[in-house]
Amino acid sequence: MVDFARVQKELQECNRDFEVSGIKVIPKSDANLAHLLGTIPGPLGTPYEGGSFKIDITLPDGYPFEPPKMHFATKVWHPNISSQSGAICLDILKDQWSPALTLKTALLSVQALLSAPEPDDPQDAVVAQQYLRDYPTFMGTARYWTEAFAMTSSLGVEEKVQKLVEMGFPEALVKSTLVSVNGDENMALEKLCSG
Amino acid sequence: MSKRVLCKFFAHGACLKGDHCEFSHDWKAPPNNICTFYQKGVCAYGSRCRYDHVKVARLQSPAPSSSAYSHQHHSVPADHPSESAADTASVVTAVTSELSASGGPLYLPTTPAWDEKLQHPDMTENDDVREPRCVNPADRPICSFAAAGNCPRGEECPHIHGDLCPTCGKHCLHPFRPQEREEHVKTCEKMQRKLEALKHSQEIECSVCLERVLSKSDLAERKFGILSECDHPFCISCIRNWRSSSPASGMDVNSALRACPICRKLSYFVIPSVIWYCSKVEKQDIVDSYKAKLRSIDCKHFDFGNGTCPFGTSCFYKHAYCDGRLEEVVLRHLGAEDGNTVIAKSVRLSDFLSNIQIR
Repeated sequence: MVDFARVQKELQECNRDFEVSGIKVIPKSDANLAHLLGTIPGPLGTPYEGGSFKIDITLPDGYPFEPPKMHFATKVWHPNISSQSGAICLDILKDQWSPALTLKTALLSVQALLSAPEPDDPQDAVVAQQYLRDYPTFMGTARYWTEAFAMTSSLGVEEKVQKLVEMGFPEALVKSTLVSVNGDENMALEKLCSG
Repeated sequence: MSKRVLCKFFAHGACLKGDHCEFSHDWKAPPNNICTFYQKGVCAYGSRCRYDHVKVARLQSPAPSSSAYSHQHHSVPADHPSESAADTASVVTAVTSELSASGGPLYLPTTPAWDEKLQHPDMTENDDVREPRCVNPADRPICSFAAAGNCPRGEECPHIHGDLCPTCGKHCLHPFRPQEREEHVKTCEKMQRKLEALKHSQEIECSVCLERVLSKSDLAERKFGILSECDHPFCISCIRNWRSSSPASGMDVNSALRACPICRKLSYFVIPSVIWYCSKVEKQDIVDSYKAKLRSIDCKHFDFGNGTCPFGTSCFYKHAYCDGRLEEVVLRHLGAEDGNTVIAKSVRLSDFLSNIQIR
């Protein structure tokens, strides 16, 4: 059984110093604290700078004695993060987990991973290859992905709607879909395409 | 001398003053059964009073009555006893000088034995006048009001006011009983330290459940689990849960589960404790007392020699046979190939036999 008292405390603690860390964790729904959405800012001085990356968190029954399951909901171009699924290759989320770690410290570690890629132990082989062989192209792609997928907040709601309508979706559907995904342009697009 | 009266509290089996009680703790001593209210005039219980309603001034305190009696003696023939005294004295001198010719320090009774009796009344009379003062001060109790914090009589209090105990801030140190003082100071300091440790422990949070260990909702969980090798606080249930959780894929028991969740230092055992420690010495005390406690409990694996304990010599529990004999362990050291010595595990023939499959 998940220790929800601890999760509550973690959320409070994490959101208290949001101003400093920029890391935010919110429950996906009020009813279930086992599904959370974390947000980390892209570290400064990296191609991820300025982006806001969403991470989907699922707490297993054994939490905090088992590591939380995390994967990127925002598309990222990074050797240790799958460009397809968003899976993260990080030891503390696997065999190096410790119950003294919290969601916030785990997210901080993920943020640190963004600024310090480990191409020798890759999750996404294509990205890792590019990182090792053609670093400038890697930087360019990472920057482009950040701007394309992680900077949605820079656009106003009207612009997002217009952008999606231009793609050929009916305006009413675009609006309702945007509302349902909290204004996330990429998620709305995905939803519109799939359904 | 006041010890002649049986202590009322002692009679009921509950005198707190013990050896220092001013009343007798000897069953042969007569109890003082005189009603004090009747002495003063009125006793509300009247005939139903369980104390004696006798108006006797001389019975009330035996000392003055005896003095009155001996005063008469003293005043009777003043010259007669001294005469006889002189006689006896001369006889005694003659005898003693004969007996001890060496003439060392010789004590000559200047007054005969009965004359001492005559002298006594004066002393008892003096005693009566300044009764409490003349008793050995160590035998007198200290004022219980002052010891509890505040004596309403202040300076005029007839009892000794104890010295101030620096630890508990009460006037409860007896000025004339050094042993008791020392004892009080020792226990008081110990209590104080314990209290402080408890207060300090109240604040400590478990790093896993993020709750204050001593304020957890479950009573059984209000205990610390102290790791032998590092000083990070956890509650006993969290740390035991973590150490006993089944290792996830790729997780190594030794490097992950048995390590401290914070510093990842390997600890082989966890010590439960209701109090968190502040110093290495205190930690050692907790560990030692825990081990001592376990050592007094018979190991269920060893089962008085009927079973084998997987922990062997490292077991914290007692390995004793039915007759009380402790298990004697002879460790066999084997030289390994790399030059290190390895302790050989005991091997039983039954281990092999049970695995044999007869075809």
